[in-house]
Amino acid sequence: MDRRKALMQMGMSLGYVVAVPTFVSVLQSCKDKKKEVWTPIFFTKEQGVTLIGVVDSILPKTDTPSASEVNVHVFLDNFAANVMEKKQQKDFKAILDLISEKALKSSEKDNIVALTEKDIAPIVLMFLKDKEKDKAFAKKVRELTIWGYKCNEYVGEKVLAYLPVPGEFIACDSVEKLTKGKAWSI
Amino acid sequence: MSKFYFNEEQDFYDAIVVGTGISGGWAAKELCENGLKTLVLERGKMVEHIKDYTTAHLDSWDFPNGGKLTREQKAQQLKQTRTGRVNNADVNNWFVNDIKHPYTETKPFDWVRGYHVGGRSIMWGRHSYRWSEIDFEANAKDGHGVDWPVRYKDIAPWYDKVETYIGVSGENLGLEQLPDGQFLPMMEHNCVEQHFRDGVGKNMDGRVVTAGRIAHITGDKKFEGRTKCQFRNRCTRGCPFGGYFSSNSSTLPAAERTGNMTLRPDSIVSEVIYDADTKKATGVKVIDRLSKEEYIFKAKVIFLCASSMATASILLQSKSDRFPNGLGNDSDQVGRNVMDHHLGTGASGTIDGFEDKYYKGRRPGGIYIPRFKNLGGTSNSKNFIRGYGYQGSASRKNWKDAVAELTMGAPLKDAILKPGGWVMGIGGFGEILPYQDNRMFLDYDKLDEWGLPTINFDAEIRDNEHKMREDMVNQAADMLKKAGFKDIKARNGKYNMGHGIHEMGTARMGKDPKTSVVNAHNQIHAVPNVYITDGAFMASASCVNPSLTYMAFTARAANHAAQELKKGNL
Repeated sequence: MDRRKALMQMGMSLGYVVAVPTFVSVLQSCKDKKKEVWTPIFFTKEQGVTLIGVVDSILPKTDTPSASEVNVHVFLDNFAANVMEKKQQKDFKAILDLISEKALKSSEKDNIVALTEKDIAPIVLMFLKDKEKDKAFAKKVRELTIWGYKCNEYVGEKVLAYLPVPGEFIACDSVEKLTKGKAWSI
Repeated sequence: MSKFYFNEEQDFYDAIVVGTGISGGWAAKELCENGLKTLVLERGKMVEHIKDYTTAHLDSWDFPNGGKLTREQKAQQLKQTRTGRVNNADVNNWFVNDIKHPYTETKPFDWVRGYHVGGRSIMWGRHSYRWSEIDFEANAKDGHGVDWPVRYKDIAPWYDKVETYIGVSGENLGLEQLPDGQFLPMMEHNCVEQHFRDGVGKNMDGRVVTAGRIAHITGDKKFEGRTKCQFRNRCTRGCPFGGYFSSNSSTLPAAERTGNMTLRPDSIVSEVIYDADTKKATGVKVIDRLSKEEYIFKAKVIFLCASSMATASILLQSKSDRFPNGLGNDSDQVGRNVMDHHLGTGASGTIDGFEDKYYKGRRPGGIYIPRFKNLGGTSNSKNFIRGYGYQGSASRKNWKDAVAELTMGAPLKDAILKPGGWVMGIGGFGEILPYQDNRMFLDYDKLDEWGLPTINFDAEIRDNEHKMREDMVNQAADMLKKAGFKDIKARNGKYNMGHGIHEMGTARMGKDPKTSVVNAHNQIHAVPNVYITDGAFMASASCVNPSLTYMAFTARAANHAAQELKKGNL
């Protein structure tokens, strides 16, 4: 990709990040803690740092927790280790490596561990919009991040509308009345 | 070694039932309620209703990896997981280990099954439809297979009995091709399904969309030991409420209450024993699953309800001087005419205008579109015979567009926490004709760990089914289009025989002992004290889910057996 285009896209996503500076700093302090304590079982330490940035780029902190705050990165590390087939495992590692490589370049940092969501988000956005084959797995990571987020206990029980035993079926009513606009969690 | 439940072991029984699934449970109940001392044998482990439904209350976050099977788990169930339903830790324990229970495939065959008390009545789809006169007449009219010696009027009272006992929610429509029944209140359509129903009715010559007729308790009628469906849609895990019908929630407890049932799990029936002098079966040979010791149990009458494929295996293994090719196999029809319902065709679409509407409760069924082809006049097709129906539903789980459009970040997160777009999908269930050379064999070179031969499948769908599938795809897309849906995606997916998990036909019913295995009362022609009432007896497949028909024929056959015993005819 030519430099001008890359800068333009970075600029666009930076615009969005700048719009929520408080959250970024909160996220930052929180994430740094995780970097210290979490040792991935499947990914390398560096890939783990990138993964946190990736999942939080996809689902950042808003009035609800970010993906990493509910441990989606830990979930995906386990999932990659135990569920994924070899080909997917390889693709997952490769996309994280490619993201960190580009993020290092654009941020002019020399250590992956120093990368933040701010460095990683523009790259993830670029990859998600890219149609090239070597970026295709970014979309799979997004899909898994959303799935991991939604089958998390906190999100499932506190964020979404949770009703383990409905006891009745209401076929058609207003969203507002039934769930106050939320999706059912299960 | 396993043990006997509910009664002590006896030297001799009035009846033996092989299998505890949907037909075995009914045989047990009816025989016991007729006063017969009945031994019920199950090859798998004991399952106690409620207590053994270990995943019934778990949420996805209670399972490692959200419930997805690990590579190691999946490697044990490579064939079972060909159906997506099995690929999750909430239900996979009900399905066999493919390494422990192997079979081979000359042509691809998905043999998806569970070995435990209750069998597939725990994991079944619960759709319950009557056959019509059109189905019973089909073989005679178009010359495929052999004519059924039974017509709708013979079985209708038994459908009444079964529906009344199991509880089926549904709607009477007065259709010739899908007879009315004894229904509990139907589960309502959500707003988009209602829109689809209205649109199809208005724009497709009155074609009918109705609620799936499913064996769930709705309304206020009382059922012993069971309560109303709670709309959890976790049926396949086993329902602690008894909201749907299973052997475990219903027929086996009924049999137990008579005091006449003895249940022995872990009992693999290898043979039916034939006595050439009396020309009757005298009992069964059993291998204990755990100790591998052999036992013989004796009875006056034997019901084979082991499932279509397992029953055929038992017959083929039961060799004697009189039956060198297997018990009751004078016609060479045992193991032939394998049928199923072919799946994998259908369409889905999205719709605008219902964004402010939602539903509450996870309804365990959806809509049903009864057969509308080859019913005479303009409905007749030049390309294929027989028919098909569809099952489907609409839901708000379509986040795909939001994800693609919003890419990532806060707006995406906001979207995925709200109800997604509406998507309506329908999938076809097509009739497969009975072909004599669609068959299963026993392979004596590949034995299982109990020393028994394994099954090889050699069956496939043919020209009639392929042409039917094309129509199923086109009609599905057309219905959605005419009902106002958009972004319609039609599909004609890969289908392996067996994938419908409706195996039928391996010991077909007929009038002539030269071309069929059992008579109109499900008795083996030449061995009248052996009844076959699982899917094996089916002489054709219809396009509707078969379990209700197995139950009706089983109840009828069990009452026939009880009467014949009383008359001294068996």
